[in-house]
Amino acid sequence: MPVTKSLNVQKNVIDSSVRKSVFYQIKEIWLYREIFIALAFRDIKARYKQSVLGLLWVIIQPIVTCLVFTIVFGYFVRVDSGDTPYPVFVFSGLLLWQFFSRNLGEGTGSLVANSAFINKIYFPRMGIPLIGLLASTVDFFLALVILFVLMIWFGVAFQPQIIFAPLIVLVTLSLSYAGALIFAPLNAIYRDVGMAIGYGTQFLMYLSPVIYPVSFLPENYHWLFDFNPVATLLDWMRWALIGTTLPSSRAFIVLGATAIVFLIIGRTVFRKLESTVVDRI
Amino acid sequence: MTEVIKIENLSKVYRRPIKRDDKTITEDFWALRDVSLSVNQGDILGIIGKNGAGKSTLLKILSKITTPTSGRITMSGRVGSLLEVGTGFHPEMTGRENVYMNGNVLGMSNAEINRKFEEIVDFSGVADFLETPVKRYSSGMQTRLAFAVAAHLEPEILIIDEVLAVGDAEFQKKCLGKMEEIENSGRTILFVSHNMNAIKNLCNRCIWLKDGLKVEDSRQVSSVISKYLQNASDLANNLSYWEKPINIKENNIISFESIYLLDAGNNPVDQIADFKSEYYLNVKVKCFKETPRLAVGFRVVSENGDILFYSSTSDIDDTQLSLFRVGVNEFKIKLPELHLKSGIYKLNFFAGILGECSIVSPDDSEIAIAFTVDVNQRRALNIQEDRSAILAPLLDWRLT
Repeated sequence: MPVTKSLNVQKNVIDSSVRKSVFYQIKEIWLYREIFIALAFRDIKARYKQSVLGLLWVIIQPIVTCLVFTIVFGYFVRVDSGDTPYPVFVFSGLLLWQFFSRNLGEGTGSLVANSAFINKIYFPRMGIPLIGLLASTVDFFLALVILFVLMIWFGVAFQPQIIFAPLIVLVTLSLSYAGALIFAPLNAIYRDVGMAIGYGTQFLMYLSPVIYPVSFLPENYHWLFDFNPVATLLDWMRWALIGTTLPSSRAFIVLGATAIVFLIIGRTVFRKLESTVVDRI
Repeated sequence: MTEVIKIENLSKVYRRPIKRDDKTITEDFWALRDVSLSVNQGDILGIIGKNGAGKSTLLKILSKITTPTSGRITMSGRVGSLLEVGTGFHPEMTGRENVYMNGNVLGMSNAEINRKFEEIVDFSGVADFLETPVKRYSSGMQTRLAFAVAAHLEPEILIIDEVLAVGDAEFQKKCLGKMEEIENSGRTILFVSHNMNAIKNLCNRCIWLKDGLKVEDSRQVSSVISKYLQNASDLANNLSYWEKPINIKENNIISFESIYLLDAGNNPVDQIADFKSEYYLNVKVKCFKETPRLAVGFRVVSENGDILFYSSTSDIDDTQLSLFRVGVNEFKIKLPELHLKSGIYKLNFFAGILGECSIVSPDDSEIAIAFTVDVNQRRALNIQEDRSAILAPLLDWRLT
């Protein structure tokens, strides 16, 4: 399938007010998919090519983080994680959290990181934040395998609702993609945005039930978590993986609404700033 | 003739920050002003103009990289653009991986690259290094591989920006050959170059952009080129001597003080009338501190943009690494018997530290002088001047 042929064979109009429909944009990203996949593979390969341990780093990083949290919060602080052994509990949360925060971080930096291309060739730029998402989805599924090993080790039963996991991954991707659409062009114009996002996500981690369960806090604060979409994603994923309680329906409505609203805002911001970014990057 | 590109009233404005009275304000810069153009299938359109005249902006808009401020373009056919060689090469990845990456980036599918892989590798001449990371390639090798990928793209419209400035002569010839092949297959090429010979040889139509405006557009390629060159040689910076202006960018290593072209009697001249007489360059440079491997030099460029040669202090003896004294250094360089054709030649001066960095690059050097060669007077017939050659020596054809 010649990538550009199907797009370019018909009359191709370039003017100052190109208004593309959402469907056209999706179709365009699909037509250029080989570039995005190639760029994602380039990122994955380049990341591990010069390291001795190579792909093992994907596994080492979450294990070490999990170990640190287990020692600090599971052993010293004694966070009560209910029936689930703390390492499994914290790992199931870290898994999704690291997935989300990396997506957001790399997505925000994606326009700057790929500036060498943006200036020299055309491809639908809205696909650029997807490159990092593709790469980290691969990492996510590798880390999921480690969780399975941990679950077997600690004798935690597998849940039938695990079949929802791909859906949860998809919702997480949408939310982080929306964030990247908003922040990537802003970051290309003012690099401060990337820095702020870095601190912001660290902060958000402690506001979300990653290293502690919601039950760790007094009951009259629990409703607050319904308005944190990341908390809902984390608890939803824990429900699917280790069978904790499902978030409330109010939490799901907030999550869905946030994802949709952010995607719309993201698309608007990205389109508004796209040409400025290209000229200034 | 089918029209493949139609450009109507295209304008592009960039907002750029400028410094005025210690304040930074933004100013509008019109890179293109109201350009209209219609390109037919099979046109090999050369685009010439000074740096900043809007050539690259036009190509960027055509390749959809940047959007126009106003105006409209209608194109039909697949567009392939090669705006910079090596775009999309990833240093850590091997030559083979990069061929696929680069192909994708230029709009080829993996299946298409599979089909042409052998041909691409053959053309590039780097077959032995396919499994080597590209960062270990020489820049020449990178260029060859990148052009090879782009040349096999087979688009209906090919957009090329100054790719021939790099690579060795043999490879340039190969590239020109490939472009002629593309040309013969009836496709359309838009070609930006500062190399007037390449434009003359390849193009069947030429436009000249000046300050964002299209000032010439004709199928008489040579006439557009000569108009452009006449205009270029009127420029004030083509003086036959150079003296340090007050507002020049300074560095803390070396600065050029003055450059003169002198005849045998030490009189400044601006014309070389006869290569049998002796001519000298007098170059004064001021050196601020002891710097190992410091070198200065110049290159000679013809009015067609062909680089004739380079000469540098490092040519003499590269063990002589501390040639420069702190303070003013004066050089006297005897010009060789060049047997150049009549015309205007420009000398761009440069400075740098060998193997380390360039201090003044010859490509954007403001430090330049020009001289005229006018040797017609010694010839009964000036057939030599019409030949497309760089040198015009008069040899002694004698019967034995």
